[in-house]
Amino acid sequence: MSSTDSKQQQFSQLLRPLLPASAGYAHSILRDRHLAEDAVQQAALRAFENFHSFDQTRSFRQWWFAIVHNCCIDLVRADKSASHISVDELDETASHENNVAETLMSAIGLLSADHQEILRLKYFADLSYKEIAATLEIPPGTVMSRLHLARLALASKMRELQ
Amino acid sequence: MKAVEPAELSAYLDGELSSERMAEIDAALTTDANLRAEFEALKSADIQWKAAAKAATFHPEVQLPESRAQVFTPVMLAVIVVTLIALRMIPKFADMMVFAIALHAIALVSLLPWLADVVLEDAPASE
Repeated sequence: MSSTDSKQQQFSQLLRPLLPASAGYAHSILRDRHLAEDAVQQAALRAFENFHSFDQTRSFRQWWFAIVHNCCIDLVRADKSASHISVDELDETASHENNVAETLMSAIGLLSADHQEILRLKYFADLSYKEIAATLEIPPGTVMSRLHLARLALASKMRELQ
Repeated sequence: MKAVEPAELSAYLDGELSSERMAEIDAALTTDANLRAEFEALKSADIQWKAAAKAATFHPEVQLPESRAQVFTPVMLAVIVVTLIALRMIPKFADMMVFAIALHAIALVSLLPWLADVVLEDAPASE
């Protein structure tokens, strides 16, 4: 087996278990299942191309979700309609659906950008505080306080939507 | 014991505090009813949100590109086999020595892409 084969196999083994969570994470940002699938596909290709430069001492999960996040942002920029759903539209979506996932995504979408980001990294990407700190380039102590405030804001928003 | 800060309850819930601080908050939760109520509300919401986030997951269709080596191997193998059969049919190449040289030349040429692959793979590259 060549070194390319073994690296591809290693990449695949690291990536496969993260795909469902990645799709949920992308879905929570893009609010569109097909766009989320496109974002994950693009992220997989981008990560594959750059896997040789991945620092093996770092968390693959954190590295991968940062790429998924960037791909989602690229898609949002390319398709402004996906990122500019009005608040009224979100409220309507949430009130007419019993889907808890949709309600959670809608509620998160109504929070500040900082709170949205940290809640998605915590709940959809399932990153640790250390990984969140590295992703957002903030101290772990800030992760703790920001996440707590984001949780309080989310609880309040969920009560409004339910 | 230092008073429990609200944000520490989140970190306690996530198991992100030191073992000493976790033990201190454990103790505080058994004696402080208000703190326990605050924590239970946080925990209950967290369980719901984790379940909701899990419900949002799905298996995306993701295609990874095949490596150059994987694309190359069957094609090259077929070319080598066909070339060897063709060479054996030419009277000039029926001679064993000439045939052996041709065989080695083909083997060498077929190894070059793998060699290039390994060299390029190990070369430093920017993300």
